[in-house]
Amino acid sequence: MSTATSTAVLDQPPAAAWPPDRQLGTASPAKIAMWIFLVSDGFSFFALLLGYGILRSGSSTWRHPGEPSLSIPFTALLTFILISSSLTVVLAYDASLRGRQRQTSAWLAATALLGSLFLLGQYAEYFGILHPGLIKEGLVLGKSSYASTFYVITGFHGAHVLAGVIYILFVLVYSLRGKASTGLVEVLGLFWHFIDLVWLLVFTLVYLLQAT
Amino acid sequence: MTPDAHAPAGTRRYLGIFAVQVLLTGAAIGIAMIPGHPHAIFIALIAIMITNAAWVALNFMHLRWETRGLRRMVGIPLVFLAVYAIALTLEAAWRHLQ
Repeated sequence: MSTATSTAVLDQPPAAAWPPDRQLGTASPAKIAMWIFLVSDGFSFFALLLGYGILRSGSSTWRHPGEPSLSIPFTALLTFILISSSLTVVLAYDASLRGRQRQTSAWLAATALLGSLFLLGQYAEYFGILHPGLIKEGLVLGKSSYASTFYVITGFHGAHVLAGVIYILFVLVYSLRGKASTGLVEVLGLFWHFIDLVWLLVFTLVYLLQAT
Repeated sequence: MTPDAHAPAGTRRYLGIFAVQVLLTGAAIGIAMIPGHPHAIFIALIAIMITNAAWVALNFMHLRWETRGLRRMVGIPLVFLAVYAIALTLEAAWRHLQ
């Protein structure tokens, strides 16, 4: 082996051929790692939602006079945007599986756009764009358990959406260069669907149950 | 499973999965809006929420097509969450009765 060849081998070790595992089959290490991360992240969300439930059930007056109620129709629209983005990311995976690189990029771009729209909607809900936001209407962080739990839970979820949009943009750049593997798109999809799944819990527990 | 353990492709199937998710979410919104017994609405909303979340995890996150080992790796921690939730709910109910 020449010196040049040995250097190249040292710089780029050959991809490990993972033998099928009895328990995990042929799932890639990246996919297993993402699942482990999602389970641990799920525990964080669960702790927040459980804390919310305990505070709310122990409170005689949950929403104090002067505090606004949360808008169901507006948040329903945001929910529709987020679940639509779940469809677009899975269509990106589908296109990637069929080897259609351009279609993969288009669906990934659509997902990033929908995720950004969701974030814009959340900004409008907090701060207001066309109408006064919740903060101006009197829902101020730290003033009550209702306000604090609302901002902490939805803010934590919003931070995940922001991270997800940045993650999508990275994968989109790879895809446009023709370097995004199906595995990369699938692992991204897992994270994005998790965001969608958690939102379904937040939407039900924080928004829909306050209407009852 | 293919070498990377990918789930099978199928645009139409994904559209069907999405349609069910939209229906479940729409049903939850509808139930929350209509007047009714608060406890019945609460139970219905929680049931739809769990169904919807499981639907996403099984179909969009492809857990349905994963190996038993991976499904266990994800599912067993969820049992702990359920135990915590039940224990804390019972404790809250006990305090309420006191």
